[in-house]
Amino acid sequence: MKLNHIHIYGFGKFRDLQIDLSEDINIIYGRNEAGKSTLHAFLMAMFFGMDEKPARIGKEDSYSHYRNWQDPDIYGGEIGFSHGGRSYVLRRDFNLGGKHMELYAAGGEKLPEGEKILSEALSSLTESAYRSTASIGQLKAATGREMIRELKRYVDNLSSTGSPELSADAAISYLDAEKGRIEKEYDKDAVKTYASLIGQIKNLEGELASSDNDNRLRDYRDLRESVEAELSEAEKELSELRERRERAGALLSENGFADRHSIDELEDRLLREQQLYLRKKKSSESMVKRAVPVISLVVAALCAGAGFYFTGLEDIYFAGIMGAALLMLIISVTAGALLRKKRSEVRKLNEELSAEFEKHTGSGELDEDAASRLHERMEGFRRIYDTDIATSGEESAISDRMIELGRRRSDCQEDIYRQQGINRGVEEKLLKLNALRNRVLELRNIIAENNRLKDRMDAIDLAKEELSALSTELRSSVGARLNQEAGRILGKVTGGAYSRLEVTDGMEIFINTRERSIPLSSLSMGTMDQVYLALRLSAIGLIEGGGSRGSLPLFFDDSFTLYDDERLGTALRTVTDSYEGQLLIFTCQHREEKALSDMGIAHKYIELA
Amino acid sequence: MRFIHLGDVRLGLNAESGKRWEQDRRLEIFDTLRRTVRKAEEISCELMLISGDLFSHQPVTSELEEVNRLFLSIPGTEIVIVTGRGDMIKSSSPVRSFCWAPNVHLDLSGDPSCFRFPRLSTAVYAMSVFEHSKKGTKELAGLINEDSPEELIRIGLIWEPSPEKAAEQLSDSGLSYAALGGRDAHEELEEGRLCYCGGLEPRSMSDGGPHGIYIGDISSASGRLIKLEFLPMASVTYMPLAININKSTKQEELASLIASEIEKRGSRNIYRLRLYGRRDPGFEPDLHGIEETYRISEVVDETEPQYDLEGISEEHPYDLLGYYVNHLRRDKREPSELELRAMHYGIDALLRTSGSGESMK
Repeated sequence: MKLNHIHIYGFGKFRDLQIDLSEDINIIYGRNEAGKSTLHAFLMAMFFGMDEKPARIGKEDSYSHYRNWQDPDIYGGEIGFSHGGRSYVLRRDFNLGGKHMELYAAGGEKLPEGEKILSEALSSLTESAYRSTASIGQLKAATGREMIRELKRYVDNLSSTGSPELSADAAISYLDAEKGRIEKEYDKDAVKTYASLIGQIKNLEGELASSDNDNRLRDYRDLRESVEAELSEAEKELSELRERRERAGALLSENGFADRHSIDELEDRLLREQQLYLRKKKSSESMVKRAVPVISLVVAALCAGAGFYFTGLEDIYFAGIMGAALLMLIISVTAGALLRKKRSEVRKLNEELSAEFEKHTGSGELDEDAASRLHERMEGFRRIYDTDIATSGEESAISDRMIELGRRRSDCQEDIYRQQGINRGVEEKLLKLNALRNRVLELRNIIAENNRLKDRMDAIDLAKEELSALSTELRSSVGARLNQEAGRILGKVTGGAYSRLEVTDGMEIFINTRERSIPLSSLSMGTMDQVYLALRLSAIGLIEGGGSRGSLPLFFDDSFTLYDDERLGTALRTVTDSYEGQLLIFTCQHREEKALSDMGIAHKYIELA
Repeated sequence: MRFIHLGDVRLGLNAESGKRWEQDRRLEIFDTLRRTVRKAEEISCELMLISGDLFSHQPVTSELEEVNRLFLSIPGTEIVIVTGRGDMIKSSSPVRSFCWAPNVHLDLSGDPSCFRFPRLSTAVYAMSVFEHSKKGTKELAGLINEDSPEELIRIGLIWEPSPEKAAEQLSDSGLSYAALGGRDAHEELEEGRLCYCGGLEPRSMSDGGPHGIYIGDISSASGRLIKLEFLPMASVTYMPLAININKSTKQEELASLIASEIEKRGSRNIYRLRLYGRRDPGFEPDLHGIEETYRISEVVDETEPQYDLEGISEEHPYDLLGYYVNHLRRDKREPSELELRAMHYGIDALLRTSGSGESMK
């Protein structure tokens, strides 16, 4: 970029000021207070615009400062410049805003991408970058401190990223922050928890596999069922037994038996009575006994007949016969009565006994067979008694068996209860196992997410590593070029006194001579100024890229005030030799003009009124 | 004789752990079993064969009861169950003491067993998976070969994840049909005489394809399989969905594109969403809204920020950014995912912090 003309419409103390500039060296002379700083500020404002509000409290509010209070409506100006073989006119009306601008082509046509073209013409430098490099104030150590610090920082960025705008450190700390953010999402305990869950699952599975947890419920139930079947069988047996006894008891008592003895007794009695009856019957039926009354009656009748037949018999005989007849009659009657009595007795006996036999044997016959019938019958009762009533042994055996079965049943029941308890435990464990497995699944998701996060963190680490390696590489290459270039310039500025300069990684500056490496701080102020001048000039070259020797207008604002004539000459020669761009030297002295004229270097002299 | 063959139902499977629809998914699996039972009723199926892994795990009594109630509702269908690796019978298993409905048959002996259904002229040879038992298809085949049944229809039922083994053991055993379980996808071997029914429902993204049941008819006169049909029953399909993104894609457009693609394919299905293409570096796809509405089990973002590497390299010939980009560009080798991601991080960090030069003002 080369400035062709300046036209201030209104800026600070200037109104309608026009200056034409040379493409090469311009010396702008003005006494103190002539407005050199204002002109310099105007050019900066034209290049970069102005902040309407100061960026920091306490910082000079140049926007207000440079407004002309007598004529506030006119605030701005224009500059003509050429860049890339084309000419432009830049106009700014600061009343329309600190950043307001319009750019016109040489033909007066307004350009839509004015800002872009301007930025390119200024090598994309920011104002601060420009001030740190191409705009050079008074070269003196005291006021240069600020500039030195800025330049240092500037060169640091420049040398680590190759651009004052890029900062490897900032990018790396941005990545660190990004990684920290990801780290927060990373569940560090997931793997540990996972392992512990797997352990718990193994343990639970082990517990479940233990034979203590076997499910034998079905076996126990089957066993209980069979015991219960046996038990009910025994119960049935017992009740049948009891029923039979009851029936037998009823049968016996129906027959008048209380016990076995009473059967024997009855049999004995009936047999006895039967014998007696038979005897009596026999006796009542004897012919003699039956004949006596008949014979007696016959004899009595014969006697009585004989008595009457033989009338005339002596009375005595008659009386005797009659008496005998009477006796015989009496005998007959008595014997007849006796016989009847006996017969009735036998009949009665027969009736009674027959009834009893009828009852017990079903036949009232009292014949000889009656006894055997009775015996058979009684044997039957005795048998019934023996089998159906005298069964306590059998019954107690069944009872014992039932007690045993009952015990077994309650054992089974207990086993079942116990097994049910175990089964409940198993079910709880299974549910827990399921819950654990679900937890494991969740954790697998978390671990998968962790892996994704880890990948991202790895990528960040890799990016950091690459950035830092590249930045180091670049730093050394930019640093080396800067050192080389600055050394070359320094050699010229110092007339060959110093020609090797090194900016270390720690941004310390050393001047290297054949003998030693001298820290910049131990050199004289003048030398320090020269070093910085050299660094600035080389830095501009680096900023603009490649081997450019400068295309930006370089401003010197009373820079050489403290230089003696010899040093001034050297410095000016250095600048003019090493910088190919346009120079604007603001000064309140004539020394610069004189030095250039003495050295035969062409320049344009402009005097501010 | 009409039968239904299903298996690998995996009731209780937590296939979608940590997802919003985790619980719904579990219910869906049970619901599909319910629909299968209703289907059995509808087509007057006489025999239901469940070839293992009815449950994904050791079922507890309450789970068995739930299934039993369902089976109780089709008393006319004989249901023969074998267990698989997931629900294998262990010594402590609650299923050992469970009382099934009269039409449900599960053998607990640990040996191959035969269930005979004279009414159906059918014998089902079944072998469950038992813990610590090595008995399997070979033993089942042994039983089948020894047996001389009166039944004309002979069916094998087993959970056997190896089709080779199943074919080797069972193809010559004179079975009318072998109902096999243990594989995710359905598959017919030996002209349909040996069938894997596959899972009733898919269980993961890698488990695509149709899922359902086999319905078959076997002639009671000849004992031959006369008809076999696969009927999809699953309520859900796992689907990959790839969405192309370009530099002009914006949030709203992306969301509505994904929504319409999903609606097209079924909003109940579970998707693995893959974003690819080159996106505007400033655009970070936000899929929260979409993920709230649809079942997206995974989002794989393969998009690359569309940095104008050439532009950067041209604009920054001598600085770190240009250096960085050129360094990456110079590498002829295809960059790994990690390197690519690292590059994006690096460029992003440099661009985002490039304003820090301003701080020198």
